Amino acid sequence: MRLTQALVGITTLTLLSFLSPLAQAHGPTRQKVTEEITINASPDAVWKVVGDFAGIANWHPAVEKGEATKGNEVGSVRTLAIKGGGKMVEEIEGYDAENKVIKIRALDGGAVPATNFSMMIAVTPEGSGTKVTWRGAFYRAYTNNDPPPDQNDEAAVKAVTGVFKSGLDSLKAKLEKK
Amino acid sequence: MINIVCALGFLLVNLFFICVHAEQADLNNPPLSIDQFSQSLSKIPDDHPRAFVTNQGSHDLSVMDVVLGKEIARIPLPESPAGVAVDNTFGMVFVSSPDGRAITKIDAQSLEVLATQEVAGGPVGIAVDPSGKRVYVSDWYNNQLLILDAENLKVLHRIAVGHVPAGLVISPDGDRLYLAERDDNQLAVFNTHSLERIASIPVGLHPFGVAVDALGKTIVAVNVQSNDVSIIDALALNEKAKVPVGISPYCAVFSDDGRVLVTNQHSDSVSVIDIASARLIKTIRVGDFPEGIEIDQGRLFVVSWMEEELEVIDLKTLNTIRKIPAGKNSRGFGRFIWSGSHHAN
Repeated sequence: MRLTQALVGITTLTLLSFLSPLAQAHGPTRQKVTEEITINASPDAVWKVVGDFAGIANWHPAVEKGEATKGNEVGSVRTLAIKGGGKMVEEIEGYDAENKVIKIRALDGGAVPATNFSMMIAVTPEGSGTKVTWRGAFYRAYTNNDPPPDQNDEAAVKAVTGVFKSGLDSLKAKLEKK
Repeated sequence: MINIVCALGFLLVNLFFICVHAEQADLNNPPLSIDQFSQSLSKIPDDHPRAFVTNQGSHDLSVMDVVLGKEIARIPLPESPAGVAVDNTFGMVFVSSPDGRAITKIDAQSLEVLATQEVAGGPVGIAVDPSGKRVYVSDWYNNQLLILDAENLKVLHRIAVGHVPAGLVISPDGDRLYLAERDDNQLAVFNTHSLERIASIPVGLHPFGVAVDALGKTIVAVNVQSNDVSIIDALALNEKAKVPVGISPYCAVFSDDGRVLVTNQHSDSVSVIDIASARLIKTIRVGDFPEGIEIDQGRLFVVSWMEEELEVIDLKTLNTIRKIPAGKNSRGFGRFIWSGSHHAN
């Protein structure tokens, strides 16, 4: 998806110029993105793909490749190479195989103009198919007041929305391919 | 090429929507006139406790009747309200809006907005002293503590504090202020009369919420990044213990039986700690991404930021009594329960 690549490239360059020791700092206004999609496949089939922490490159168009330290165990850390350059590092905070929910915290959000980024993907039955819900909580990249436009709340929400939407669209396409 | 054009168009449309929506908030939810409020509220008993939940995403305040179990009013506020401080002495509610750079004062009974005060920077943490006469506000961006006259919200003093001041509480006797200095990983203690710093107590990593017990003997600082809470002795002014809780703990409240309850944002739970033994004794499952937490008459109130609702839990049985929908990105950071009009002086 060239849109994602363009966004990722621009934000990566921006972030490289904004390396800050206050990696965990954030402002007072937390942002939320929730995206959903319905997939014509069984919850088990969907969870098999989306619940595979190390295998996100198999379904997300922005990820070149990824590897995880401890599979799907809580505390497992995955390092993702992003297409077009850059990387992201994320950790499993919660993994509920029975209810098909995975919770992930970004350790190095690299390619996204957001900080303190945590997210959850939940897979639930819906009619004869499956609903996938992807929710994220984060703060904008610029931790101080009066942010520049490429690091403000809107930029963070837009980037995260792009990541979630493109991922879910691609997941659906992959699982519904006959 | 077409993708870039679409992206720019998308961004422009979003910016337009945000600007228009900010103005349209008043058109979609016009504030009721005082007469209209009085008429509708005359049917709602004003001795019922109320929850005042700040909705950071919809830029308003949910007013919930705890007994009836529903929202009775929604009050528009300056942008991104977060902190809330209820004063049960005069029956007032004070709210901080970090992006709106303002403090708002609301009558808890009539729901009239009595005053709005612009403050530079990013006001977040807010507390009222027990006399109901002073409001204290932490300015997140400017590293300052603001002292406001509760009557008219005029800023009386600004004092420099540590880095990224967050949650704050006043001791029950009104003499001390305890402030979390988040990026300094410490709790600051001030004399409220002289405004002098009495102590700086190292706590865990990135303290945010602060709570003090009813006797003023124990203070708790909630350490978001070390996933623990610091128990601080008010007399000795040192940290007695750190108790591990869930992931990304945020806010705390003392019960009247020697416990402190802490919301864990990433664990969807509330940790119950016994103060005397400094031990975690219980974990309560709650809605996703809980933040604000309060106790009133045997009920636990937890604001879920992700689910955007107030969860009411019976503290004896730990059963959820009800969930009351709030606005967008509800937080309730601070003291958000008003006990009802018969409790006023």
